[in-house]
Amino acid sequence: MSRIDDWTYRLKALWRRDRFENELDEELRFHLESEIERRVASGESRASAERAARLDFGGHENIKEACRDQWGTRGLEDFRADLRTALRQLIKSPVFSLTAVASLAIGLGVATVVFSLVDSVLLRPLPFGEPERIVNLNEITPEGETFSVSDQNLLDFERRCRTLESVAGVLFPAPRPTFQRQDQRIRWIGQAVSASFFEVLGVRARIGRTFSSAEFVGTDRPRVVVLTDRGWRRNFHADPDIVGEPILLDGESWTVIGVLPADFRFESADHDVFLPYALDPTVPRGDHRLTAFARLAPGVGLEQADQEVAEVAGRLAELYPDTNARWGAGLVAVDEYFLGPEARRTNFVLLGAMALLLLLACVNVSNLLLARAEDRSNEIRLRLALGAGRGRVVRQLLTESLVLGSLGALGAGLLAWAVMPWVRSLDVALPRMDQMTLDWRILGSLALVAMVTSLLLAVVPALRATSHGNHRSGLRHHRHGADPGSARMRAALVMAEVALATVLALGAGLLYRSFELLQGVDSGFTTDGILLAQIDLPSERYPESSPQTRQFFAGLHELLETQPGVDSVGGTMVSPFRGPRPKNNVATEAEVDQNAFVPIHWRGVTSDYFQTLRIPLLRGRSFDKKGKPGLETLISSSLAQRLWPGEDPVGRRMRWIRPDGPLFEVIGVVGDVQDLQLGGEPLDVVYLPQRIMGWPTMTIALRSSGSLEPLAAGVRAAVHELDPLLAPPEMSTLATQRREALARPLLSLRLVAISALIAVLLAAVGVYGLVAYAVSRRRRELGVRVAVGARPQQVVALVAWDAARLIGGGLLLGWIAALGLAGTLRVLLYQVSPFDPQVMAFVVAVLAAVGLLACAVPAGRAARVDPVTVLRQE
Amino acid sequence: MSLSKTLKGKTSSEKATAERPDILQGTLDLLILRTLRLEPKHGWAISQRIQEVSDDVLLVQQGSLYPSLHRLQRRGWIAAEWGASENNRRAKFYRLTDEGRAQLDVETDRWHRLSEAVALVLKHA
Repeated sequence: MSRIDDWTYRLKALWRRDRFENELDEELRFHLESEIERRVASGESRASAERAARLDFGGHENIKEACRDQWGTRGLEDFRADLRTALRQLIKSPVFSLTAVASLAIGLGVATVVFSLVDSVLLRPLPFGEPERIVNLNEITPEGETFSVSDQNLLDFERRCRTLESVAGVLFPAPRPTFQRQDQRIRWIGQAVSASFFEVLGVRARIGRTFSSAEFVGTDRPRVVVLTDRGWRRNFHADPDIVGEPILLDGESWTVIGVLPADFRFESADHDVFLPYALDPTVPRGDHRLTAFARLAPGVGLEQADQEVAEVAGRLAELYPDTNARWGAGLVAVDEYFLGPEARRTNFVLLGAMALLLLLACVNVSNLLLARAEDRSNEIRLRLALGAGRGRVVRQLLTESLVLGSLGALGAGLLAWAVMPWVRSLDVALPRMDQMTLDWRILGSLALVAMVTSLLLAVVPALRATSHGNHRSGLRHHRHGADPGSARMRAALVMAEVALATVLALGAGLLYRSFELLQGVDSGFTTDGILLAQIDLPSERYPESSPQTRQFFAGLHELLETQPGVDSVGGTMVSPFRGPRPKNNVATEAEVDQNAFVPIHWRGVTSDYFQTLRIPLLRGRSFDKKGKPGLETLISSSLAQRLWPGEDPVGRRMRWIRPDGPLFEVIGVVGDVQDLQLGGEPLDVVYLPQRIMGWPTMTIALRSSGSLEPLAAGVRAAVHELDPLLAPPEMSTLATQRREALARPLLSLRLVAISALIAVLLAAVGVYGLVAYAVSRRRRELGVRVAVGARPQQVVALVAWDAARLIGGGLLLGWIAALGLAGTLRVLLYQVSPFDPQVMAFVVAVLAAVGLLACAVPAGRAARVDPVTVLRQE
Repeated sequence: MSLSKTLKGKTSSEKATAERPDILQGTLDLLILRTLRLEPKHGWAISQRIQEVSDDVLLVQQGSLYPSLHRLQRRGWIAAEWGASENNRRAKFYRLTDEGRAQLDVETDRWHRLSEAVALVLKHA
């Protein structure tokens, strides 16, 4: 007989209970009557036959009971009865039930939200095939910094490395093609990738196919694109028939060959399209413009491949010393590449905060359960005295806790469901954060954790309440003589609650202080009243450094400058706080040693850029607006100090890239800026004239003292006027982009602060509960004190002193624990010591105040104890 | 199936208790299965049949019969259906299932081996 059949039978017996009972009844009656008839037939009188048969039959009820046992429903029925009793008990004491359920719901709810966040960012596998075999391939500069890869070098790595199965490059800058349909112009975000890109990532098209290597060979290559799920839905309403159809991008016809899976993400979630890019052996070897990825050959480890890549880089350095001397190469695991160490640390801190809060909620509930078991000790003793088995009573108590746990889990699920959209709507501070969802795995873990914790929490109180000592002392025992061991345990638990709340509050305080400092960081330019427009010219019609490109930006500049409300217009290659982050090396003119070249950030800017962002011009002048542009540069003050310490750099010449590189004349020095991230060292920046660079991707900044809204329309109109084929540019404000730069610390701060707030509330509930309980137990003693002349203040002081000792102990413990955890938090702090005295003092003061406030009500009640009433009650 | 657990027969008015051995639970199961081998029967008929065939030696008490029937049913060895009795009353008829038939063979075989072994011990020990 299978287990399933057995359970089917049991459940049938349980659900069809009435039918089973009726049938049993009828069956037994039939037996009895058959027996009577047999006796009558054999000659007995009917009366005597009935009597004899009944006697013979024995207890009808006993037989029925024995049969019911065979149905296998007893355990289930007991459980059902326990459930009913539990619900009745919980409804009978609503304050206890609500507090316990709310504690669990909040603790578990926050845990669920944080866990699904961490899950989406950290735990869920990347949407690639066998991601453990995918690596990011870097070149390494002579200074040891990781750097992008050049076409020729990548082709060499592909040819020479045996440990790499396939290699792919992603072109920088990413294309921003304009999608054209009838009158519509939509700016798409794309990536240009080499032939093996999807093979390296192990991604297949969901409809159609991805690129084939044939499409990257020869001169007359087919124009084919692969759409992302987003691009497909946003522009084609998820029409599967789009595959094979031509679309217009930047005025050219392209054929859609496939659509990527919905969960596919590469670097960010907002790509629309992938375009083919054939690795180009004619691009100079020194031009590093690819982000490269590779798939390790089967069975090859990262270290082994990393070693081979480094060796190959060494050989390339010998073969091509002009460009590759002292350059190395290395591999980074792809999850490490996408996540980065800082995001990982943020996740760990959030997980830590979540664990502390969950622990606190559990302590709170176990405290409540202890108190409740004590309240009910008389009832429990009565049941034991009446012959209930200890196991039976323990089971009843555990069932009650299980009901609490289930309700808590339900509340937590609802809470998480309600809060999740809010968290998801925050600025995306962590990769893949927008993908967080409540799926069955998370809800399942939530249910499991709730069940296990509620049972574990109930075990100790249940065993204590039914212990033999308790049992033997029988019904004599009463309330006032309650178990001192239990009181000590509860005091310890409350102290632990205060300690946990202290740790969280200290963490939140430090993160707040750090965030405040970050917000106050002087970026070196104004962020108010600046509108930013991102212009990406299609490279086909506007090649880099071409006259068309320069003309377009010059024309745009002119059109915008004359618009009403515009105070100043400037342009930069680097969108503040968004990037890209171009880097290079420079030195003073006389330098012949490549090793003495210093790494710098560089930007191509227009002459009015500094004035627009109010970056102070400290020396010299800005670029000329008209006339023939020369090889001129402005440098940041920190770089001036570094290259020409104590001297005036204006008029000096700066060597670009390497000892035989081009020379630029320094015409001015500007103030230091932090336009990539806030809170770091000031950047060493070299500004080059956009009029020479002719970069097709620019961020145009407009400063206005008025509203920025109307200006946006003006920018769109101007772009359309200059080139009707272009999509309207993406607009933003500098203030928004600066805020985005702080998204990650803000996320940590918000989540930890919410945890801390809840923690302090829970701890306050704990303190309140304990003090209220102590006062109710000491009513008699307090009554006597008042009767013999204690003043109300003295009574209050008596009660408050006990509470203060608990709170003080908790604060001290929490503080010590926080010192131990300081190292973990330090990595997320900006210019704040984890031992910051101000934060510590503030947190201690707040917690002490909240704690004492929590005992104010019960202490007040103690002061109002009326000795006559109390003593009469005895 | 526990052989150690005995279901006590109740005092009978017809024959002296001492002459009647207690029926072990496992044995009762075997007897019920065997009784149902040829045709479905209701509870009363089963107890009558066992009593008759054993020459009034084995008297199955209702207190053990019905729990046994319900247990065998839960195990899937017998199945129950309502039908009309000999004198046209509604009665619950039990019949052997295929599983029960197989089980009957196993139990019969086990019983023979056990009784032979007991007989050997009684004879030679």
